[in-house]
Amino acid sequence: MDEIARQLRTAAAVTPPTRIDVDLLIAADRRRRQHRAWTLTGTGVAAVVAAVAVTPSLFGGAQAGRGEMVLPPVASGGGSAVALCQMVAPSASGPEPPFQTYDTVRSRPVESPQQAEGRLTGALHAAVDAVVPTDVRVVGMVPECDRPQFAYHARYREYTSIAVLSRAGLRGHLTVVVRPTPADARGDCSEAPDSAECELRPLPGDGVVLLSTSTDPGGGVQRWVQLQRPDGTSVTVTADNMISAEDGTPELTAPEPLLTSQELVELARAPGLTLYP
Amino acid sequence: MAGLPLDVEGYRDFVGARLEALRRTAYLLCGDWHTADDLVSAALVKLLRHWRRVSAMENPDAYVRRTLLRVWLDERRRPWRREAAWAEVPDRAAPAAGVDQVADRLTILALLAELPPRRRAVLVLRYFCDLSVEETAREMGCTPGTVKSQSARAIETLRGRLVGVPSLTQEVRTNG
Repeated sequence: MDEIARQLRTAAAVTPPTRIDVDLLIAADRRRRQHRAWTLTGTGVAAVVAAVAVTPSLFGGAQAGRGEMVLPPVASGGGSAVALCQMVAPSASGPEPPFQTYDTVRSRPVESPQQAEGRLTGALHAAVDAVVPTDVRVVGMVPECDRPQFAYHARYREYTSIAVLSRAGLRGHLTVVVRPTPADARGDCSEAPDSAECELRPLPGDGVVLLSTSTDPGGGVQRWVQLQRPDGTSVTVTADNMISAEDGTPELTAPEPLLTSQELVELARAPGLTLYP
Repeated sequence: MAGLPLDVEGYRDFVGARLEALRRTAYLLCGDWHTADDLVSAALVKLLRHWRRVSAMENPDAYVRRTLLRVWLDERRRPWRREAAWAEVPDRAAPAAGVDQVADRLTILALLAELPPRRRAVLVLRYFCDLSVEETAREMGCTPGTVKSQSARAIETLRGRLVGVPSLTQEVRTNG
């Protein structure tokens, strides 16, 4: 195949000047680590509260615009299953992705994101209570808010919930994403993180579910499940065994994810996790 | 970069020695230099986050190549990336004397763009990065048999479209 090799080398022979600045990457990563530590430890929330306390005018200000910080009302916090904790909306550190205009298998939902966030969160809580083993703790990523909750990401047109699972000193993430199924979704393993390690299971009356497990060279394991419901909703649930330390370095925190693929499927199948209730 | 609990100098040296090769690989995967730089940047950020662990590995190059591959495949999965890079393959009728390198470049890129992502990746890893079937399989996370079949199908697609590409039977024989 010398000819193909030659043509490939010819095609890539002349390289334009690169836009990549390694020092900038390093500096940006350092800022990200600092921001992440700030956000996840709740120090950020404390700082915001302090800032509000000394700047009364902020209380009566207009609604925060996109990319600005949303200030939590004092009365917010944990509560009933569908009451959402207010959260800090971080600003994007770089250009935001383009707004998605992809076609979906059916008309997009008419429910408002605010309503859907609460409804989906309630459904997730019920599913977590029913599926997750009692010795596994599920804690949301919003500071001072115990339970996981969904947040709508307008740019991606999807609802995401991220939580930390823990059991006897072992930890890992649980992520649930709910979005309209794209029209070109093929319902096969081509969408899986590792298509070589993927299985497709039809679920009678409940669409198809894809299951994939990928392992990185350092021992990180990610279990990935995607349910494509007949009603046009895709529910993706992942669990892993890595947590980022305060400096941003991912660390293995368990020999394997704390939930099985079967449990992830059961979470995905929760009746309320749909965009077309 | 004081304060980072990392061997930043080691990272900088590693990246500096491989940046151009990574950009070329990314370019052949995605077909344009702008996106290639984006992909390499994303891979380098991931590499930095794992550098402490990766730098102790026997083959960090394989790790970064695999990361680059995954970044690209992930990008391809995003719906807004699914538009075709080429509406149609430029005509490449007969081999002409004094082959124009620009035409060659456009043709091979257009043909690569026609291939499914993983098949395209197999071709780039095998024939540009000079990886063996087994190495390619490891980096793709699949079996050597899959690499061989994907490679054969890619060659079959290219057969007759590129000057000098031998027939499928020749390729199969060559790769065992």
